[in-house]
Amino acid sequence: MKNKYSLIINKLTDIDIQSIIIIFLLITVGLLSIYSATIYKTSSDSNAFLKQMIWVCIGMITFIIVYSIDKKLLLGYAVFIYFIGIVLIILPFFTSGDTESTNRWIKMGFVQFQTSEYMKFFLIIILAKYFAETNISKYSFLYVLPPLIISLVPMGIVLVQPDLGTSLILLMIFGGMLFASGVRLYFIFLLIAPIITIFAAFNQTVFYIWGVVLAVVIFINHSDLLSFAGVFIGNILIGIITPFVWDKILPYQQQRILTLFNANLDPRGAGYQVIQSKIAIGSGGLWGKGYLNGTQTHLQFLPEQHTDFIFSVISEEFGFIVVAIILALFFTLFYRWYKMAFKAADKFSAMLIIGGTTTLLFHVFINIGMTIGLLPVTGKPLPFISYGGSFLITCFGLVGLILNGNSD
Amino acid sequence: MHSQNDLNPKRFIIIVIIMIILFSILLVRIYDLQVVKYYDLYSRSIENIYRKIDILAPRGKMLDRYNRVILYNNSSYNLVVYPAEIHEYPETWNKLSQYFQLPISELKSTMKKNMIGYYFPTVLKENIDYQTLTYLYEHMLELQGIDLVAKPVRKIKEGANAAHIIGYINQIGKKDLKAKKNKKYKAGDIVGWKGLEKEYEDILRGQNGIKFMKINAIGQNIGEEYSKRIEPIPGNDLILTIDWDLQSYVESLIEDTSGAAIVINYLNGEILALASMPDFNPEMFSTNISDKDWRDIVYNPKYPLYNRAIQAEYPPGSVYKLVAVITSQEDSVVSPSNDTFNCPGYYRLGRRIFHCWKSSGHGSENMYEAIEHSCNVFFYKLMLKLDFDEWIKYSKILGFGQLTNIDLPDEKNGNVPDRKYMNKTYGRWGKGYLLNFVIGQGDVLVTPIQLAKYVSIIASNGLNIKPHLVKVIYYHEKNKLVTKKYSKDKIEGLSEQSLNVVREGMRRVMQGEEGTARYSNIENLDLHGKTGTAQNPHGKDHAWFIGFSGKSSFPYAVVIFVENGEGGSKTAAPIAKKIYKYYWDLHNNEK
Repeated sequence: MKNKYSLIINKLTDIDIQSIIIIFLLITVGLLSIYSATIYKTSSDSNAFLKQMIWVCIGMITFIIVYSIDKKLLLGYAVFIYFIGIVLIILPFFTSGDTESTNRWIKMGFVQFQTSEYMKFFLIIILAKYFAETNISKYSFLYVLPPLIISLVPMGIVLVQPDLGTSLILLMIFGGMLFASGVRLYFIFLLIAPIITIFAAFNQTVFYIWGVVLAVVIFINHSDLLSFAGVFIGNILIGIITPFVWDKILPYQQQRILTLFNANLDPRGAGYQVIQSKIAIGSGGLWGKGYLNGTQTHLQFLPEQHTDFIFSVISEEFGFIVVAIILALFFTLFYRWYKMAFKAADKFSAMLIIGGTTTLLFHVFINIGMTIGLLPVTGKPLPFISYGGSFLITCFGLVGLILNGNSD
Repeated sequence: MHSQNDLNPKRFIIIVIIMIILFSILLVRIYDLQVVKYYDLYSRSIENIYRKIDILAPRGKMLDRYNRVILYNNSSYNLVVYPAEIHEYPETWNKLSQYFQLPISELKSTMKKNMIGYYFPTVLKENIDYQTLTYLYEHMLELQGIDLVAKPVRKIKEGANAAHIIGYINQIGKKDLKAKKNKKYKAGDIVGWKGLEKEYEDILRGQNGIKFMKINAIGQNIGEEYSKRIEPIPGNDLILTIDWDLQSYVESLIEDTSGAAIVINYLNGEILALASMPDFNPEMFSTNISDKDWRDIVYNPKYPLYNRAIQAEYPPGSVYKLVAVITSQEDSVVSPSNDTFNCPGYYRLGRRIFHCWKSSGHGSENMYEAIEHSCNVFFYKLMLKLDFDEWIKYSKILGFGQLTNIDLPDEKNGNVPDRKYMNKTYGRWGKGYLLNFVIGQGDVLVTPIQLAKYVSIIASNGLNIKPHLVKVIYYHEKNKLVTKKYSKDKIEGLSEQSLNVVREGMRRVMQGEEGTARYSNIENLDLHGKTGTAQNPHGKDHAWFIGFSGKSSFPYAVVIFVENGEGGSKTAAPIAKKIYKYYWDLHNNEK
């Protein structure tokens, strides 16, 4: 027993200090902004600052636990916890009585859980296991199929919750890990092709051009005519069927799908949020309006300002310079971690790091992209900075996973 | 562990490149917002600190010719809520629900229905009574998120409605809103819909001001930023040509009929009274008109919204014979006193027989006598001697078939059946039609206001007056009275001599021993007139009367139109007599 404790202590002293410093810098910025964003708020989130401090503590404990877990254990239980995860994301469909609201949350007493948060972990672990252990050749398309199915199941479930954001994150985890594992780029192209085909099908000219591109790429990569024709015709068929399917489904379903991709169509006014967010960011200028002086923030033009739109608060009060520094901190962090992955001792560790880092990278991109009006409003928070217990714990857990992967 | 790390470093480089691209996209966009578009977005954020509230500009008043205010504003109050603010204070809903004895859900659905935006005042209740008003003012502090907004309501001076002069105001319609986009109208704005309210909309309207309310961190008003306030510019006032006493009297005279009456100064075109019946109370429209009142007005079979004085197009009857008189004199066809025609009571043209109103006939008579008796046969015979084109020409010179351009909207043209019209309507047509036209029947259509102009031209010896209702405009901003100028030049092509003949005929109608309107004459006023009866295939005939006083100190002309009034001398002329008597007495008392 003594031996085991000393092992953990050894592991903890071995920790990547720079990563920890950067993360705590980001958390500090987050806490300051949450304080500013909620200082005048009269609603239930008025003590968000204190709550977030508590979540940070719980997060650190989570980090230590995940960091300390023996990787062999993860590898061993990967399949089991994956299925636990699937059950967890199906559960909200049965527990939430209100059909109007989205099926993302499980209520346990007074605490709510967004179960899809934890699915990210489980997917990373099982995919890492697959890529580390598979005997299938990278040069065969069969190599792609098992992880594709493993990923599509939770993605589909999350999408109907409906939660496009999380679904996209799961896709990025799969894509990132697949890419890093060294799969042929052509296979990735084949995976993306049907999606592009569906979108291209709505415009005839685009569809023709895409058809030619498709044919050329497939022709170059396929030696035998039969599989060439199969893949090509398959894609074209998808393209031809799409408009028919679209016309067959009911208008409210179409609306629902369109809203998924463009929140501006949402009558509840996500478009308004984005405009106000852009005003908040732009009005910050180079140096910001000063801490606690953001008028957009304090007049609450952003209903989700301490969670999803925290980046707008920072931009308004601290300005472009600080925002650039924050982006640089994120970049440094992700750069370090990807580098760690490529230097990791074994492939399982490497894939854990890739998965974890990719998850956080796309959270950052999707969140900031949303606040500046580049991407649809999907409600994805900003890692380490946004208010919210569920997600903060996820982030700490992911860092635990990443740094665990980096340890021997 | 078992599997060794075989990741290809080339992939690492690609990953870093993708990361650089992603971060660059974000950074460039943020730079664009925070540095390039800084000034624009910063000023928009400053605007957000204030809640802009319109200060309604009071709409211009209307005064009569003696500067008595006949149309003014009175406030009514609306209860409004700020959705963003009231959201934070559910207690306000409870209190309102208790006071109004309405479920919260109903109040909330009213708010949702009227809401323009989360941060905009939204009407919850209109025209709240005085008791409610005081209650709400007293409890303002407990009722966070509400406000009371004054809304102007039009009030009319006692005595008359003047509905078809004033018109009414109401919320701008969708079509109008599109058409007036450039004039800064927005949904919910009040505009003139009819009458002078519509015609002089731009002058009466004024310009709303803006109140900049500062709002604190939780969206409450914390007072006005006075330095930013833009004061409203009140609408300008109209001083009308109307005499309110006369207007009231004229309205009371024809109240129970369907018809119109116009009193005009024939020397300058000033209208002293203009009434059309049935009418409505214009005040009703500026408050929230009830569905029942609205239906009563819109679906009334007698169309109260229809201004008969300028929109009723009817055959004028014998009143129109004077056109033929003028044509005959201008073209020297007959001598008014020496040439006579015989009236046996009918006239045969081909196989058709045209009757005189007097079946026993008028015997031999000259033109003066024919006008006095209003003999039809004389005019049938006269018409056959006239050039149809000349008759058309003088019809048009006298203002028929065209707008008088009175300052009221939606005036109608009437109709002069010229050759083009006849060819189009009838193809082949014969002289029989003309015999109908000369006595003002058939396709000849006029409006009362056209007759007012016609009688004015005759009375004023050929002045081309423009009938009008607005005399002076008072511009508040410049504190300046501007008298409107109206043309009244002499009409070319009308000789004094031919007008003298007409006037002599009209004098005999009133003052002659056999004049058709002799019972409606008043001594000493030198009254002239002409009655008319328009045949109506759908019911009783319509009655017309036009007339004027030849007294230079009393230059007033009158037009009376009574739908289904049967005969001009029976119904229309007596009304004119009452008007003359009333106004002459009023006139002398004032002196």
